[in-house]
Amino acid sequence: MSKPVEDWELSAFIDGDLPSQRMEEIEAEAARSPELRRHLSELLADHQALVELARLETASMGDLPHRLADAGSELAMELHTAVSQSSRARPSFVSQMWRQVAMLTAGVAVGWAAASWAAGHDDPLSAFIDEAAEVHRVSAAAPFFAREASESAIGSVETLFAHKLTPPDLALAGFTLSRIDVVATDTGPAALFVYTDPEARRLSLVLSLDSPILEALNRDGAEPRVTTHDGLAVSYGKASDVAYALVGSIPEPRARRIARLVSNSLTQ
Amino acid sequence: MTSQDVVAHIQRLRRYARFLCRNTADADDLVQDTLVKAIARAELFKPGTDLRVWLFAILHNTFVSGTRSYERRQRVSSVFVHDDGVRIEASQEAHVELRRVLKAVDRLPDDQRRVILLVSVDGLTTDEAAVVLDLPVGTVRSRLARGREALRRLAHREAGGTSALRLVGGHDVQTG
Repeated sequence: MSKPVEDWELSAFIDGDLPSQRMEEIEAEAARSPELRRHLSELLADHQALVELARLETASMGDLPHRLADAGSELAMELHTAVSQSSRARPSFVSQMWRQVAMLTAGVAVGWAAASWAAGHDDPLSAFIDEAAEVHRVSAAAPFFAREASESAIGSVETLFAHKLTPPDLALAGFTLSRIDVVATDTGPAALFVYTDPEARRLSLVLSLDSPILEALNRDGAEPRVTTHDGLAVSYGKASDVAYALVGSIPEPRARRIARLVSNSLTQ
Repeated sequence: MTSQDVVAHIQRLRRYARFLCRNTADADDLVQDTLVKAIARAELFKPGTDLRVWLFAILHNTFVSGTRSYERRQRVSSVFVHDDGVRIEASQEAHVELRRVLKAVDRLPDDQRRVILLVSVDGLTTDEAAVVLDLPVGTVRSRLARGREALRRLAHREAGGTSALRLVGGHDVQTG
């Protein structure tokens, strides 16, 4: 005898969204149980009624209004242009990205103001979260805001660039890398990766090698933590001796899931 | 990407929007808003991904972010669910059945109603609906199952003349 049929399986059965063996088991159970058979037939009748309503509604819609047809033509044109540009740009994207990384290294030569590191913050982790949220906000308007840095900062960032600056792939979360910047924060120099999704929502990933931050994160374990900062979700943690903070206007559970992707990627 | 491809998607958007807004004017306004946003964000569309799902996601977010104004107008002109609404050209018996299901759908909690419309009306898979609604697929399956069960109770108990207040997916739904 097969296991009892659960409620969610009845819905999945309607959609044929179960493994074939389970579909057959439920069919067999329905053949035995008049109650299950009636239950399924009512669910199926409602589903078919909705399909029929959709068909009738489609038939009643007629031609597109002019304003929608015009917008559709414009959208088709914009998409065509975007796809063409994307296919032309794609071969050079990786090299362009690494050229930007090289620019970051060059940016270090210009330097940051190391004297401002951690100024005014007693708790390095809170400072990191504050700064990451600030970077997220400001980076939308200011493409570059590097300042002078000390020799040690340059050394740290060169190490970071040389070994640990592979941008995490967040495609699984629906986000695509759109920009790389270098930023100077009160907690030291940091790398900034900006991601966007098809809805133009931005995620900022801020990476830092600042020792006090890393030490504070050491005390908290490896699992990403999430907090909110002025309405932004900030997920932060440490992976392979890099402190990261992921900032965006997304639900906290989602921020945590994406942070796990970041952590896994940085650890590889 | 041709204009015909896009037009086909727009008709699907209009249909979904009509079920969401329940009147044709609001529905076409919603689709227009969606297209304007899509045009502005065209460069963010990823080649090789499903344009239909992308557009539905924009439409859904547009609807949710503008729900207040859509619902305000909806109370004044809620033609879709009332007797002067849907142009059903079926037999009288089928007409009654379809109208009963439609009314029951309208009384579902919003989160369940949207999932049911995407899957049963627009034929999206649960995976696609999850992308559109920006939810885990498990949540979508759960809402779909609870919504369908609530719909079944509303539509079929109503047919049997039962009147009661029933708990549906954490929400009280007046069934009679």
